[in-house]
Amino acid sequence: MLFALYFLSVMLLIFSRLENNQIREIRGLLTDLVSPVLQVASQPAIYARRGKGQLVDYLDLFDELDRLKEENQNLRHWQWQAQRLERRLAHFRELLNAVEEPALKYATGPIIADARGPFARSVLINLGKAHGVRNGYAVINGDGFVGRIVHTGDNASRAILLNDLNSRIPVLVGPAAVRAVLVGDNSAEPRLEFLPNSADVYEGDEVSTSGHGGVLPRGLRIGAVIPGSGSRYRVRPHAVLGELEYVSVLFFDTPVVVSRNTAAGARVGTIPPGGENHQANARGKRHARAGAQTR
Amino acid sequence: MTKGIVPSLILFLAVAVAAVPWALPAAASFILPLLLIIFIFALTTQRNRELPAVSVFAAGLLMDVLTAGPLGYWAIIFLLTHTLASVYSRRARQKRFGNLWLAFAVTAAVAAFSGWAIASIYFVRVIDWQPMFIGGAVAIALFPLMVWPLRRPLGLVPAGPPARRG
Repeated sequence: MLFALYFLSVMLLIFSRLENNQIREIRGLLTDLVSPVLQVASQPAIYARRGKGQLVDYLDLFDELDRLKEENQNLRHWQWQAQRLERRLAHFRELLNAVEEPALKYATGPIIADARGPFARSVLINLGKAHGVRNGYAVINGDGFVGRIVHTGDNASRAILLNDLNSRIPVLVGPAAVRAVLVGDNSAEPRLEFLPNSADVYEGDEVSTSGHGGVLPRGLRIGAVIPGSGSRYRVRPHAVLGELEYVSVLFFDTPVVVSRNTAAGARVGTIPPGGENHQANARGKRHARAGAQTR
Repeated sequence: MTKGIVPSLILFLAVAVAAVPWALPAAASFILPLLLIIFIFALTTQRNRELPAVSVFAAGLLMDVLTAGPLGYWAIIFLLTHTLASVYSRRARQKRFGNLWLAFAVTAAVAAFSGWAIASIYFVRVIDWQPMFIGGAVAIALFPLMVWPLRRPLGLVPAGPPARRG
């Protein structure tokens, strides 16, 4: 009996390595089956994390107040700048007779399980086909891009995080918008690969999705460049990938394969045209949580 | 047939708790899965040896599904833990807590090393061993805290002074 179980385990491992379709289907089925149990089981963890966060906030209350006052002053300046640029942009668009980009819809849900072990950096989101989620959709939180959907069940979806070993994201780096690919290696900070030799990349440069390939929307902020080993660069994501609580799935379809079919009953929000960066920057964690609570 | 239901349910519940997002750092990614081997070891070595291997296998598969790893990975590690615990349970002459802890330390070390070795073979490259090492060390350190209060109810050590054999 024991030998048979060992044999079965090894066979399953081999079939998983060969990426057998039936194994994938079985996994999807089991994920759907256990997602209601996980949703209940994750509640104590969510409350514990929220309680810890509130305690830390309370202890840092006065420092946080000073920081927020200073930030508010800076943001007023940026608000004025943004309004000025928005007016100029609208004027230029009118002059060019530019086509309006379609609005981007999204749905927000809680993380009900996260992957641990050597194989994957992924999360299970309590949103599935029933909510309009499909494979390939981008996943963000208030801090920016965190990953993309790789498997969709009826009521739950699996998203690989951008630091997963299998993650490859086309990105733009810095003010010069240098093209590169962000490669996950299961570490906290993914690598920047395929940078042109002559590229001017500096520590602290912002990294965002390039939209090349049409899978992900352009302009989702990811993180900042940090020096890696040798002459390589890594990216420190703005989102804390190990502490995700609520995330939003962006309903962005490849321009060639556009479908507007979202299941009835799925509550979705809308991001204004060109507002991906704005959404990730300004909506914030609080808004994401509020969106989830209205679901 | 029905006598293994309670320990099996405890194990499945522990798997579900280990899979929910506790916001642990990346270096601690193995702590919760390897804590489960404490449950498997304790439930296997308890007086009535009620935890069936099939339940251990199913719990491993569940862990594989929840952690998005290849099916069979945690199943093998959990089965290995179950096998080593069964061997200790059958052969141990004196069931002192120190011996039990030592046996668990060996089991946890074997489980952690196997996890690292299987993952390295699966990826055909040497993966980072530190998270596995940390997970195994934490499991060994936490074993007395989790098992000491339950040593008598579970029959892991005799209620009275150690019985003489022979």
